[in-house]
Amino acid sequence: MPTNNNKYGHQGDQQMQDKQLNDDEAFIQSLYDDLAAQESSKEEQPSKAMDEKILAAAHRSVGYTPKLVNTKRAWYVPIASAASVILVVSLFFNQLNDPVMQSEISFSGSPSTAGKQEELMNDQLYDVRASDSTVQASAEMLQAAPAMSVQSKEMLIKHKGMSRKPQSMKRISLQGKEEKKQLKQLQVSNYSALKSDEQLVETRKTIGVESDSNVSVMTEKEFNRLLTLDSRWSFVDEEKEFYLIQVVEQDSENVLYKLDKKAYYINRSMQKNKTKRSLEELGKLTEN
Amino acid sequence: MTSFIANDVDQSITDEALMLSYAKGDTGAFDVLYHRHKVAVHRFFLRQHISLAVAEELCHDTWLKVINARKTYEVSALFRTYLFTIARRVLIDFSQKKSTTNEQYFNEVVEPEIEVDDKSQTVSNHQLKQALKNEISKLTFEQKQVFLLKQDAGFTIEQIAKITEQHKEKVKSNWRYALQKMREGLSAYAN
Repeated sequence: MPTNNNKYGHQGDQQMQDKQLNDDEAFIQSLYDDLAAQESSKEEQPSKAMDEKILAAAHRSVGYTPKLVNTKRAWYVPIASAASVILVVSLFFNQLNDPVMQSEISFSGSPSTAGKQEELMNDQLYDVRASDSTVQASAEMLQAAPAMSVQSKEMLIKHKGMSRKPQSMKRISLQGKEEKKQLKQLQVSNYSALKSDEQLVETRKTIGVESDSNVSVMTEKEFNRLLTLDSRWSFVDEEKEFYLIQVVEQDSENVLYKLDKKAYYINRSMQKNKTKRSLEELGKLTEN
Repeated sequence: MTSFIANDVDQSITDEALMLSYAKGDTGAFDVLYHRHKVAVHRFFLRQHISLAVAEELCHDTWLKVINARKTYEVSALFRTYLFTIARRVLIDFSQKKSTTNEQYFNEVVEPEIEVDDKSQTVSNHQLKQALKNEISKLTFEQKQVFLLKQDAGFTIEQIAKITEQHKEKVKSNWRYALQKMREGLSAYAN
């Protein structure tokens, strides 16, 4: 059993040890402080090469990539996309609004003439009340541009369908439903009538008029032949699908011909007035 | 990189937070962390009485281990404790490897002690530094670790116990003996 003296002795030793420890710590610390005050810490710095080596390894480990690349990509991609879209849209509208026929017509006539022709055709196509004159005016127009190719005519029709003038549209809206219906029918007949010559002959064959009787159908070839003979013609009768005309040839022989209603249009006044007319006039009625 | 170092004025960002940021891929966080502790780690190896080349090699190995372990890093202690635990293990691995190959890695050649007869004589910086090195090299391995971690790196006894994976009392004992030896050897330099 420890005595009180031992107890105190042990505590005294502990205190002595702690005091000794504190003294030692203070002593070493004073030496370190002296050293720190004099020496520069540069001596204990790792070399720059080692710094770079370690930092490079740290960056490599993460897979570091400069952000500059991404930001560069970020601004030009949407701008390029937007520019592409604008270009495509503008080209599309440009193609849509550009008068394709303008260039086609300019080959056969002056641009101003072509413009007038187009305007004239538009007005005629949509004016029901002047349907009689429409046919004639169309024929006149086509005569005014004889050099116009069949393809050009077709393209002109297509172009009309695409770019109707607002004025014409306004005129249509003022007309009654009946008139509109008639207009539509007229348009259909006009379109079919304004086909190429080959197509017209083909149409006549399909309706079966040719094999009807001895009366032959007026073909393009026949028309041209009669034109060279300086023949004249007069209206005889009107059937459901064709007109019947009488042609007086040079040798005074009268020949009957059928005129396809889809290709020709003879108005009421002409039907009543059965005078003999020139074939040129018939030609005007051919392609209305 | 340089901008990050220059901007390390906000010391409120803890080492642990920086290490977690680096674990998530923020390399700038590692840059700051490295510049905060690079000198301490380098000095720790230099005071082991080994050559500069070997000290740098060990330093490099220590930081590489930190880099490679970034994804598994968890905050269980201070980052400095974690860092010096790794540094100490690197040193032990190195000493064991060298001892098996019978290579001499510690500078055995201890420079002669400087005679200071007259206490009034001014002791030069170089002399004091050399004397300190000599006295440290005379310590045992464990005493040396404890002394350097406490005196140079500024760890507490508890933190050293954690780093060295030893009992606190043993660390304290090593510290006490190391101080006694150092004082005996450096008594001539006392003012």
